Formats: sequence, structure tokens, C-alpha cells
Amino acid sequence: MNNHAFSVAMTAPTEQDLVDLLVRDDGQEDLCLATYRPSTGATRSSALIRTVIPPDKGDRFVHGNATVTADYILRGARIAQNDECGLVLLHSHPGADRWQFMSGPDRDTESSYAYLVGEITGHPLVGMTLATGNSTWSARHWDVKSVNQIDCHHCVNVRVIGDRLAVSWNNTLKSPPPANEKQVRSVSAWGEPCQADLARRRVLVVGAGSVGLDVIVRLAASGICHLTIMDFDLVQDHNLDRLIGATLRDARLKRPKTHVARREAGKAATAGECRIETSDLSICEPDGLKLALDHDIVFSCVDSPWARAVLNAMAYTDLIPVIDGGIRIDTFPDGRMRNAIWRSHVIRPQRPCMSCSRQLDLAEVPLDKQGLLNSPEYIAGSGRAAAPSNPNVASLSVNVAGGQLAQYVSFSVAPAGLGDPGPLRYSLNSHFLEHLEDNTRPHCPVEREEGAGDRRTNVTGRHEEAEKKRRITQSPGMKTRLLRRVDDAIQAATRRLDRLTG
Amino acid sequence: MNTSVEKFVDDMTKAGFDTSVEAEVVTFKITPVDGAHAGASVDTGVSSAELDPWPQAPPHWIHFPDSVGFPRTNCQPSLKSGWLMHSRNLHGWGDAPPAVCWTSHVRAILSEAIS
Repeated sequence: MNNHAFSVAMTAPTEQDLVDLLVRDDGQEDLCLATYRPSTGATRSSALIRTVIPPDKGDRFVHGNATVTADYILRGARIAQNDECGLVLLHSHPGADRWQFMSGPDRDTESSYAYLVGEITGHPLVGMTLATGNSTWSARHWDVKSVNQIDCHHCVNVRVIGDRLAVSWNNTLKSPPPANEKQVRSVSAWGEPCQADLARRRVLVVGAGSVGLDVIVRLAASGICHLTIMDFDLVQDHNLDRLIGATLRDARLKRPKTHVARREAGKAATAGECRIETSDLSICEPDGLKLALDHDIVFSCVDSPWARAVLNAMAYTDLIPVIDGGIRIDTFPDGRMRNAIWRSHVIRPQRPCMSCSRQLDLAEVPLDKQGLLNSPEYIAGSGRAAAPSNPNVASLSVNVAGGQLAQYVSFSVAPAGLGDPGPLRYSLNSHFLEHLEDNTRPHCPVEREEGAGDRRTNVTGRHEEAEKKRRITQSPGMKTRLLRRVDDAIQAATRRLDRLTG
Repeated sequence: MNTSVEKFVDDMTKAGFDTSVEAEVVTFKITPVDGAHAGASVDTGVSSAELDPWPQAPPHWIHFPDSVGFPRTNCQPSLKSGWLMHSRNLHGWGDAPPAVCWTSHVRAILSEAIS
């Protein structure tokens, strides 16, 4: 578990329930318990708070500080065990206003119950502190190796998902990056604390096509320090009218789209140290989803029903908000344009999922998974309309990226206190922006899995198209390989020149 | 059985259907109200492999004994001997509980049966 990070996430209503228990009118410290489900990513484990367990009379003693009883811990651990959850022990620090580290008594209390709780629930005890001065959370996982060896792993952050994404940061593990002269205009738009918050969020962009590439470049320019780009596809000639920055050379050299995206993001990045990682996995593959679970916020820039179903589910099961968007261009039978409509929305608990807002037909998922949506034989036999040619143009796809980025800013910065605006739809022919009133259906199978974590329904699986594309990009032939090396050397020389002149 | 198959079986049982698993196909009996088999009990099934995302997404292929015929269908052999699986689109997944949605879908398909 070296270099493994830890985190906690909860919804805003859950946070409100906890605050109601932990913040007392008399200004004394208080405590309570909650259950959590683990959500295990490739390099980060998150505890997703699930159910609050309020104390009964006699479960704790408040005397300025608060003392928990063994009976309360046992009751909580059994509730957690019955729901296949771990246990969280929370307490407040009245008046404090930053990430809290452990006092001696706090450490003694949590470590003394860690073994017992671990034995009953099978999961590490999670300790949390609420600094009531400004509602900053702090958290740690107690990893029990043996009775005598209990390791305390401090979390890197605590995420609260409501109409905005509020993140409490452990500055020791992730210090705020200093804003620099390249970011003066950004900082003047939302202030230095906000810039320090946004810059530290791990952001994943799934899909590095026309929309995804725009999003990636602008996130890098805004000062994000840790950006991941996921796409298994490669650059082809027919992408070049929309993939701004990609060249004919990229297509000829069978470059992955992630290669182009990393190159363009690297040019645009303003953070002092911007880490741009790429993955040629599909989000539909188990390892792709695992990688996504390491992130604080995800952009969905894909149109396949299966990929969208995985992202849609993850927003609820693992409490990772997904910023989704799309465009549809309609044409008349004679080929002239009728209209273009683009949408953007944040997929998260308390908002309808993509299926409830009719942006995803879950019944298409098995067809996509089996590769049938692109199978001419299947389409001919089924009587379905042939797959549309997905008309799209660069001058309009930028609006989808813009819509998603505007949702991201509202959801992250909450200008004037207004967060996620809800689903938005823009119609080109009338130039009308509409707030959509979609609601969760009573039997939505997705939203009911909120906070399921590692016990989520498995929507992932083997993705043959991704495997095929990886084979092409990884084994392009001797000549292409050689030309790629020459191209890499030219790119490296250009970067060196940029550094020398910069 | 994997967890998703167990969830499907559990949902169908709660909806009043007895299921069994043969040749990686989960089968149960259903009585359509219309079509050639109206009022009769008909065997049907779904492939276990298609149940992975249940209940978040429904299966696509519906399995019937090859004696169940349709005027027009896109079908392939089922893993269950003597059965065929038919391609059918399902509309409104999530509008009702998963088992209700699925059995309504199967009944609607059977209403088109001609043999």
C-alpha cells in the first residue's frame, strides 16, 4: 500500500446530518458514528459515508470534550457488519478552522478501537474530525496489521458532493500549489484559495476526441496540477476536422489520441508542476474504472452507451461527480442542417442520472458491450436504422466543451453561492438556452446504488474494440515506429527550445 | 452463480417466477395474454453472461424453445439445446421494477408469436 492515497466522500445531505449531531449549541465537542463502504481505486481508497448512527442516551459523555463508550462502538460495528460496511468514528473540534491532526487523547481513542472494529466489520476504522469554525473535515484510515501494529493513514482530502463539490484538503500531504504569474487572470476571477483548491483536484477526462481535447487543454491552462486523459482510440484522417492540434502526421504515425492530448495540454499547462497522465484503457474495462476511482471529478466526453453507463453508475455508486455533455446535429433529408442541440449537466446524487434525463438508453448497453451497434450484419438482420454518421463540426463541438466547463466552474466555484445549475440545453436554430426539469424515476436502477462502492453492480467487462485499437497503436510496424522516434525527438527539441526561451 | 445472476433470480422469485439455470441460461415460465400462446405457459430465458449488469441494464437477447415462432425475427442459436435467442429492443428500462419491466417485455414479444 506504499504511495496509496486515502480519502473520504459523502453527499451534502449526509454531511448535514453529521453537522446536526456534531455541532452543539453549548459549544462543547460531540461525537457520533456512521457506516461507510470502501471504494477502491488503482492508487486511492475512499470511504463513502453511508448511514449515520446517532448516539442514544448513555452512548457518549460530553464534558467539554466527548468520550465514546464501548457499547456504542460495538452497536455501530454490528450495524456496519450487517450492511457489509466499515465504521466511522466522528468528533468535532469547536471553533477550529483547518484540517485537524490528532491530539494524544484522540489518537488513543481511535487506535484503541481500531482492532476491535476491524475484526467485527472486516474494514479499517475511519476516524474523522469536523473543524466547526468553517466546516473543514479531516480523516484517517486505521489499518490494522496485528493487535500490536495499527497504522494510521491520513487522508489526502474529504469530498462533500452537493450542489457544489466542497473539498477539505490535508495540506501536509497535498500542499497548495503557489499561483504564478501565468495564472494572474484566473486568480483574479475567483481568488487564490479557490485556485489552490481547483489546482489540487485530480481530474480525469474520459474521451480525447473533439470535445475532450478542448476540455483537456483548457483545464491544463487553468492550472490543474494532476490531469488524467483516458482514451483507447487513435488519430485517424476523419478526426482532423475536429481534433484541434492533431496533425496529418499524428494520423500517419497511428498516434493514440491521448498522445495528442498530452502534447497539447503540456503546451497549455500553467501549473508550476503539471502532471499529465494518459491511459489507453476504456472506462468500460475493470482497470479503467479502477483508475477513474482515483479522481475527484470526471469529465465524460464519450458517446458510446456502454462507456456512458459506466460513468453514469460511478457518479452514484462511488460519489465521483461526472460532468457530461453532448451534441446532436439534425439534418433535412437533402443534407442541409436543420438544427444542432447541445446539452451539459453534472451527474451526481440528488440530480437525475443520464438514463432518467433521457441521455442514455440502458437497453443499448448490452448491444454496445457485444459490439453489435457497429456490426453491419447485426444491424441488417435487426431492421434497425444504420448507425448515423454522427455529424459534428469543430465550430459547434467547442460549445459542448464550453458547456461542460461552465458546469464545472459553477459546480466547483459556485459563483455568488450558486452551484450546479442543473441540466442545460441549447438549441442553435432559435439560440435558446433552456433549464431542463428532469426528475429521477421511482424505479431508476442506477441512483438506488448510491454509495455502494466496491459492492456496485459490475457494468464493466472485456472491451474487444479497445484491445484491438491498443494492438494497432502499440505494434504499428517497424517503419512507423522509426518515424515516431524521429517525431518524438523533434517534439523534445521543440520543448527544450520553449524552455530556453520561456 | 455470480452475484448478478443471483440478483436476477432473486428479483424474478420475488415477482412470483420460479427460475432454473441450464446451459448458462436462466429459464422460467411465463403466460402471455396475447398471441399464439395466449393463456399457455411458455418457457423463456436469458443468458447468464448477459446478466452481468443486472439490474442496471437489461439483457438484449430473449431465449425461447425453437418451437416458438415469430413472423420476422433476428435470431441466433441459444446455448440451451433446441432453443433460439431473439434480438429485441426493450423500451423504458427503469420505469418499473426490473422484474416487472423484463416480464412485461417478454409478454409483449410473445404477443407477436405465430406458433
